[in-house]
Amino acid sequence: MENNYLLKGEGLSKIFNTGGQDVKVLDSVSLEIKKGDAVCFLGSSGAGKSTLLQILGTLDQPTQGEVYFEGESLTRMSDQDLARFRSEKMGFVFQFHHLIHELTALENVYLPALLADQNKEEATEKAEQLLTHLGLTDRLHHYPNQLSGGELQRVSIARALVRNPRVLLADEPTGNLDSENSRKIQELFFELHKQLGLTLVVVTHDLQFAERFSKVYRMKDGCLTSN
Amino acid sequence: MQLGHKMKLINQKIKLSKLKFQFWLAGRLLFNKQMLYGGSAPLSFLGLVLGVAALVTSMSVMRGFESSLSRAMIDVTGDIQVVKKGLLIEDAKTLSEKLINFDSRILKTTRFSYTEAVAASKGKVSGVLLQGLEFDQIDGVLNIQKRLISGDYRLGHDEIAIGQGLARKFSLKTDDEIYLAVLLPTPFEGDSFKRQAQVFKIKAIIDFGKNDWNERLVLTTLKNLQVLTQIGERYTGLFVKIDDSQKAREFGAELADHLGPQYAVMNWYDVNKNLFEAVKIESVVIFFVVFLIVIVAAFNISSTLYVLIRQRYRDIAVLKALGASAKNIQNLFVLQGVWIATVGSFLGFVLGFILSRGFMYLQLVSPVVSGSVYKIDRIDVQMSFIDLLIIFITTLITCLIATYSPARKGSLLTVVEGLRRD
Repeated sequence: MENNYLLKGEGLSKIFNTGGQDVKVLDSVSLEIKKGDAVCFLGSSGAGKSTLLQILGTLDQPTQGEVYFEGESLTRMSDQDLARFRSEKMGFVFQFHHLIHELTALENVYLPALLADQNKEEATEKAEQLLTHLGLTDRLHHYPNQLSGGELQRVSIARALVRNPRVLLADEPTGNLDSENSRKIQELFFELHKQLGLTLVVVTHDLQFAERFSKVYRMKDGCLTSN
Repeated sequence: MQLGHKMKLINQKIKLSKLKFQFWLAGRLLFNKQMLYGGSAPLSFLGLVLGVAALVTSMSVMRGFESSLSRAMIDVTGDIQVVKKGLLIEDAKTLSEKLINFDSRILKTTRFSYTEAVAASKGKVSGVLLQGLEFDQIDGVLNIQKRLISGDYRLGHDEIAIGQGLARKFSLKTDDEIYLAVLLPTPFEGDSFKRQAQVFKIKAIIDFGKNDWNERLVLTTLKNLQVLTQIGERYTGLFVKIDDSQKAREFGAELADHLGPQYAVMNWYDVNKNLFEAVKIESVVIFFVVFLIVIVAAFNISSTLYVLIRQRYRDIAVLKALGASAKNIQNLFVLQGVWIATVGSFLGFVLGFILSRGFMYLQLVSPVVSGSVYKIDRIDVQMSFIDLLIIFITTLITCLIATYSPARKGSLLTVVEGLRRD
């Protein structure tokens, strides 16, 4: 059977237990994301956007429901298989860059490739190419504390791309940037989407940013309200 | 088959490069400013270094004690001594030829004889053991020349060599004269003795390596002793050199069987067997007692790693998001244990070496070892590769055990948990 979707969530629910009380963060969410889609989750804080993104990206397990990638269920995979899946298919960009402070920009970027047992020379070359493409040629050997906010986020985008992922998932990637840098990063996302044919799944509460996506899901109280 | 072998080689290469990468990452995450300059981390690391240094120093001292004593024994009395029970040996060459022909492992022999004597000089009197040696035959059997402090050890007529303890006690130096007297049984009168005395010139002062020898042993030529004690051409026994001194016990037993019950065969080990056995047991006991310091240090490292892992929750989450499995994360922190053990052991070895040298220097400045208790008054500390290897392996295993629990805890952290706790 041919699957025309890349990523699919079916009846996804997530319940957190805080202080002895169950809090439903996601409530039976179902959605399909096709290859090459640029999808955005929009909603106020606490709507469940990030949780949905994390579940779709296999960073978290749903309390109920299933996630499929090209027809294959991800929810029953072992830790080892999920790690390999993330390494091969998914790229993540977080609101805060989350780079490792002890490593240079270049080392941070080629780290996922080395984690996947890729040859160091090849990984370094790819990381250099990406950083150069993102305008960071003279920042390769700088440590995170020597880079500006915009540069840090570009390094983290390069890190997400180094393994040639099929899907780039970003959780409020511009949420921590000034307007100028935010605009640049937004441009970069669409440029990459266009050039590499990447499937984009982005969480934001920036309406201007959201308007540029081909598909926008609005979320409220853990439910998708419209798209 | 060939393809299978090729795949095996490729897999091994991948495993090796993976390990290399994990080792690199573990080191980069471990040796940061926080670890080097902040909080309890450098202190707990220092504890490990001190523990290893204490182990290295104590093992070097114990090993040096054993080695100093055995070297002294081999240098002064050879690997094996053969004496005739209750009688002096009459023939000058037969026994020696018998031994040389017995086994090719016997390299050389030299005759010796000894008697109790009284030394008197500058108003002081002391009992000594006068030993006669063939000085033109001792090279290759004994190693007296190595122990020479002053003078010339090749003695001639009416010349003697004394130990440094006796020289100190009598305030003697080379070319001084000393009076030696022996008691000889009077023939036909069983209970009476006659005194035989002679003045000897001190030609050499020697460090015999053992405290009692330094204070009591006096060397002269075999001829001088035979004349003084009026035993003619007879002698007490032979010092024997074999190809491997460490096998003197086994070979000595073979030789005793060959020579029969009228001969007593002694080796350098059995002469001080109790002491050597005691040193061996003490070494093991001291190792375990001092090793407790390493164990305590490992506990500190374990608790420090717990703290470091808590501070690394965000990085663990990010690594997992980037494709690291729980096993990768666990390996990463376990490898930090390997790093800590390796660097800690290396620094401990360096510090232990310095402390050992310090101990040797201290012995030059003031007496540290009581000669009357330990038989030797100076220990040449000795670092043994085997000891260092054992110390390293035990430290490594201890550190791995100490890091396993925090590493496991870190590996079980979920990405979301890690990012949330940031």
